[in-house]
Amino acid sequence: MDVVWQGLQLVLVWPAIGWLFAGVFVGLFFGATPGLSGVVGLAILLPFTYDMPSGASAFCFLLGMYAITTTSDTLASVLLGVPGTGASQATILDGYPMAMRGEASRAFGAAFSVSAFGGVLGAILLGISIPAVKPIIMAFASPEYVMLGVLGLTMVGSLSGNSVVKGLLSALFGLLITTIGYSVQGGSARYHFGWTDLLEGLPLIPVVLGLFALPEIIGLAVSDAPISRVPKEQVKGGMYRGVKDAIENWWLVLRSCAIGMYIGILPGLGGSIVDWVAYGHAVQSSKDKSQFGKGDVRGVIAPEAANNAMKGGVLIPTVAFGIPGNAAMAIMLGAFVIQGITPGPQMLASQMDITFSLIWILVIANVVGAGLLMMWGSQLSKLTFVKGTLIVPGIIFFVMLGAWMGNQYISNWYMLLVFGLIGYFMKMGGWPRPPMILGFVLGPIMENAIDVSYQTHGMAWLYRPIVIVLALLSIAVFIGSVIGIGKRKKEKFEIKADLGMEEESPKVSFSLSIILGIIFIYALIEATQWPYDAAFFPITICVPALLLIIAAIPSDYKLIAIQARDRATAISSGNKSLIKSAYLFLMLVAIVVFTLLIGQIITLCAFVFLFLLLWAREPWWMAASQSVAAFIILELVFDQLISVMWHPPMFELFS
Amino acid sequence: MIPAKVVVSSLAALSVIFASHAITAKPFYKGKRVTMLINYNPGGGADRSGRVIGRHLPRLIEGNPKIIFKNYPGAGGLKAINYMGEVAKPDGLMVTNFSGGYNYQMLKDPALRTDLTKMNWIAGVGGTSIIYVRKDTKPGLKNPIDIWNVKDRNHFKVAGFRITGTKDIRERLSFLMLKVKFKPVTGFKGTTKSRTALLQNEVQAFGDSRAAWFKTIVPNMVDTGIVMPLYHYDRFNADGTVSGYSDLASIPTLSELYKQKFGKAPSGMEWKAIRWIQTLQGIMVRNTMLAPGAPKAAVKAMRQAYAKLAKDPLYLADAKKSLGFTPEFVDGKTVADRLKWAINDNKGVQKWLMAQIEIWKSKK
Repeated sequence: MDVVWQGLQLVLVWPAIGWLFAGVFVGLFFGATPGLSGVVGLAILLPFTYDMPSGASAFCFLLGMYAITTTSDTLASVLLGVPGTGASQATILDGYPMAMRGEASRAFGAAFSVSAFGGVLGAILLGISIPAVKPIIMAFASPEYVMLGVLGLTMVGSLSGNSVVKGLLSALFGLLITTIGYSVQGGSARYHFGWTDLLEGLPLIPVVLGLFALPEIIGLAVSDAPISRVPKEQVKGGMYRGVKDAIENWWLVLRSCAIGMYIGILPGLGGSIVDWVAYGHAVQSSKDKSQFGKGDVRGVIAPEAANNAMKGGVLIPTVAFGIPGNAAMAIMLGAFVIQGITPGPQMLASQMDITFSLIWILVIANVVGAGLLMMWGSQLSKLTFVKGTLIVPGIIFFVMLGAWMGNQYISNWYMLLVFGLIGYFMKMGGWPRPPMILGFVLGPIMENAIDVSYQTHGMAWLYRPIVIVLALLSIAVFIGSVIGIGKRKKEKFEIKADLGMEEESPKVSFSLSIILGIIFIYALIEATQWPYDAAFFPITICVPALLLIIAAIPSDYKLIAIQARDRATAISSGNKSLIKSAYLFLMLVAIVVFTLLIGQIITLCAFVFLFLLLWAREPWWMAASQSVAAFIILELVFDQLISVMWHPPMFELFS
Repeated sequence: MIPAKVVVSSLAALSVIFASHAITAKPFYKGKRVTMLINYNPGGGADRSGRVIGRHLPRLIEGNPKIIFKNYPGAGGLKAINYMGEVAKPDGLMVTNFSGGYNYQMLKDPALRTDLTKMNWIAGVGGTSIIYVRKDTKPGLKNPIDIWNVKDRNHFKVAGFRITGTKDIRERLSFLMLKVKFKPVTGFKGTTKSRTALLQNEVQAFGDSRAAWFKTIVPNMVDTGIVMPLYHYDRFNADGTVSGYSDLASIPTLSELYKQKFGKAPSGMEWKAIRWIQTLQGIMVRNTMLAPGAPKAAVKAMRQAYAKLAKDPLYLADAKKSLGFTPEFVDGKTVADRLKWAINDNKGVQKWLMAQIEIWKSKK
């Protein structure tokens, strides 16, 4: 017990505690800004720890920052429908619709309280799990990862709304696009069309931002209304109601924390999955699923509790074995080395005070960070009542930067636009988008694990006890989901596991089915020409996908025929908004074109200015001040602090 | 008439002024900002080693420029290499701390769009890898020589990343040359997954850098009795001799292990190919260049700074603390010469190895 208090003492002494607070403040910023994340923050802050007087100061600064990014990332997810970090993708599914209902404060109250609780619980579990965790990590090898992936995919049933077929097709398309680039062996380049940027696969963040954020931004710009469709004075409850929601759903919070914790423990599963699994679990385990995707607070609670609890989990393999569970922990490992500490069994044996100091850092950072956000959340939520067009350029600015970060290629912006179009038409056609992301995050893990499993165990990998248990569980969950959807259809519940899904167009849906069919046929033919190890996964995806397309087309065709009989619907207003949407999309294309010509900084600032002046019809001083603010952010934060690689322009106006 | 004395002394004074001006001319990097380009993600080995260098380099470069860091990861470091060849301005203000990269030119990767032999090479840092093996590999290992007791290739799986990567190639060639029964398992995404698989006994052997060996593997796997070192790759010296690394003296080199078993020095195409790869690996694990066409003054100043860095006690102590070992630098001219030798004088080995890789791929 003494070492527990010794660990606390390490954190509470000056200057360590000061560095902890500094880390928390920086972490709030890195989490809240789309495109920045805990990993980027760690990489930037690591050099500042070289000369720190003690290891405790360094860990307070770094871990304090890292711990809080998955709390502050809720701000962008709820307010803008843009995931603040990769771990809050699922939060937007219900968080943003809550903001649209004027309940951003409530969402914040729920998210910040469960984040704090999840973070603290994750830290405590870290403390008590270390001695027992070795068997878990040792038991989950490649074959078990395959089945964990399969189990994850069964969430598709919960994320598909009323159409399992479309949900499955969406997930299979997500899986297929993960096969773009080098095969797991690196021997075969797949679906890259001679484009080097595609060789390493599609980047996650531009795909997610394109699918989810762009369609919402277009909707916001076209409607010219505030994010909240409910006037401020009609909104009931606020932060307090959200906290109450969290307490009422304590059992869901606990289960989500456990999910986050155990996903964190398993090296390589990563933060981009944890929120989806927790979200899928919340939907699956809820009796009343009717509000999911439309602003159900449980859809915010589950991912937010899980992604903070995960932080304790990922520390376990790092501390216990010196094996970093993810990229952020690889950087933390560097910090340990710099401080002359070697994580692993020796550290657990001889430096338990340091191990417990890490737990205390997580606890204090989560509580302090959530407390600060609770204080500011109500003020920030007022943004949802501001005229939409006033904040659209700011959102586009951060979405573009968010997509740029990571590998910093111009192709990231191409992907953003391509997946923006795909997301827009999926939304229009009533196709669920979350299963596609689920497939996209699980695909690489599954293909890699299948390949390694076969190489190491042959077909015997299928007979391992945990594999069998997970397989049975997957079958049970999937059957349960399908039965659930059947029941709900019977009860005529209208469930839309997608945000802001409005009038669905069967024509668009039909066209999507045809286009997907063509893509899957092409992918199948192409794959048959590759070596077995490269072809296995895409073929396994394409064959069932084509069968599902055959099942999807007739139902859409029927709906088109029904709609044709009833053509009295107001087509003209729909066309008008479609044209306006096209204009906005062309503006985004123009941002890319002008970036190629004159560079990003000038283009983005000019866009902010021109959009506010010409589209939003704001006075010039308003446009100019936002444009100057954009310039300052680009120069000071992204250029000077983060040293972003900008795209080299064709014509350099300023050197 | 101006007296000749006055003319002569005036000329002498002028020449002294010009000469002193030349001597005190503003250093090339005075008041400038240098960008250190790193071809892997923040937090990785290339990033960490680059940032440690960047902490000391400004005081060692004449003119004391400010250094900022930019990470440009992608395609196994290839994106940044292409960037240096195609996009980087020849102004001497972008210096690299790249990890590897030469392998793309050695194996004629079509995605490489620049010629590395045309770069302005500043310095290189050499390195080796240590191959280690689980001690409970059937029938049980106590010494490196026991590896020949393995009777079934399924009992001795070696973890790797990509068939076309130099790491995997070296490991395959080594075990083929040693005539050990082994099964390569490729597709592990990074060292974390590979080391976990080794702990889980999914694979029995893996190779790691010196830094990882001392900082992670020894305390967590060697001292705990899970693994033992098998061999480390030889240092291929410029005079054609081979030697081991002094801090790895207790671990046999590949050639020593071969000799221990077969009683003679290694030879044959596998050995030639290992030598070909390891010659560059031994000097270019981390490498520093300026873009083609960079000003001569920049190249000179940067080379001088790296020469000072290689002996700078503050840097070396910092590197030892941060990276776990003391980097051994090679000057830019040596890097350029060895690279030219590898690319231009080894066509036979290159052709043989590329054919070999195609065979490995087809057997997958």
